[in-house]
Amino acid sequence: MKLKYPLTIGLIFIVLVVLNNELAKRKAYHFYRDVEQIDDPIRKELENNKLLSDEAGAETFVINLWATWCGPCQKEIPDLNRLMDKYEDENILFIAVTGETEKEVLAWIDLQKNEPEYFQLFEKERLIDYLFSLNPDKSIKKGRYPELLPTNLIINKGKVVFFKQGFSEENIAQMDSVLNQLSVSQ
Amino acid sequence: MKNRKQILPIVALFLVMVFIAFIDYWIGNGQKHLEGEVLAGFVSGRAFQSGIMALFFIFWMLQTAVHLNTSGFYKMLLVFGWSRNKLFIYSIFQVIVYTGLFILIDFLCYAVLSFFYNITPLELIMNTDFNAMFAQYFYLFMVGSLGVAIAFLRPGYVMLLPVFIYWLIEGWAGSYLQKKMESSVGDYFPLQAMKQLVGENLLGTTQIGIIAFYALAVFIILNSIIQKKMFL
Repeated sequence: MKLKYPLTIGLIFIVLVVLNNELAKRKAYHFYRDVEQIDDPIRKELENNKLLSDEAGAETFVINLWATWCGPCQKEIPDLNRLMDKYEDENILFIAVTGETEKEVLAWIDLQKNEPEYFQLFEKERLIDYLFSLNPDKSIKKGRYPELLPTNLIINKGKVVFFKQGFSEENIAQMDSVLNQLSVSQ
Repeated sequence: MKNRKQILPIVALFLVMVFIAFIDYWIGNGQKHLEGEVLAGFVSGRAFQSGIMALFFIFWMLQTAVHLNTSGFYKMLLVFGWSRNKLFIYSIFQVIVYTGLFILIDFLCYAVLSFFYNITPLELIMNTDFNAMFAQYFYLFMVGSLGVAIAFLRPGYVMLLPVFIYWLIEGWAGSYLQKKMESSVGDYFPLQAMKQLVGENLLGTTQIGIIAFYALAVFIILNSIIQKKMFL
């Protein structure tokens, strides 16, 4: 059979590629594999952060996934700042997570009129991937291309109570309403 | 003179690799202000996600296989009683060895430059993502096999030019479709599909399917060319 050799080599190659991919996948999610509550990775990241370690015990996290190159992310900064002014004393922590470096973000902030007031976590691609994976809408494409920015999540006592992608006034109003309910129930 | 001719491509390759390694260090240290282990991790990550290295590797494999074809080396093996199947396995083995050698030379370039940035080659190794390294190895192996198949099909150094032009056109078309038309059709093009082996994201089932298809196609084509070729 003339195809015996190329097929054998091809199959060995494919098995090795799949194996390598599976190992990479296991390694990538190792950090988040043994989570009991879905907000544990966020708490871990905060504990490892010198400035934010005291905030790791917050009951509710408002998480904004953003990037300096993302226009809609910039538009929603004043609204998020306003929400933070309103709810920051209610055991609610506002965090912005970006895949960029602190230097890049600081350089960008220097040029802006609207500076984000909430806490920043820099260079957190893996955490961003994890947070995207919490998306309840399974139809959103995952894989090679980044998912939509900005994305806002509210996690309360280990449950995702809000997950919206893209910027709109309605999304901000919905966030306000969810935070209001949470602050009343606390 | 003959030795000089043979050593010239490898010297040129080494210089290109040193230059690319320098750019990675320059971005990491000069632009991002990274140091020590973080810099080592950064340059190692960039080294194993680089697509341009595959272009140089396909050139290298192409010109090596063309040389072995035109110098009568493969014909000599057949005359000595090798079967064509054995010649096919030998070509694959050649790509496996050359891929390892290529990655080793690449590492040497990064290791040499590491001393200028106060990190050691050991730190480079310790901060290497070995899955990314294997992914790069598979990518180079695939494009290398493609290069050898082209060399068997048309054993002439002039084939470097159409390969280069096709590489540019495919890259440009894929990028145009993605950016201007928001279409991922470009991912199904052969070189773009192979390139998905390297990169930050993990492979999905569709991507593995496309890669498997092209891998089998390359090996079957290489085998069929070797089986039918008249070695002169």
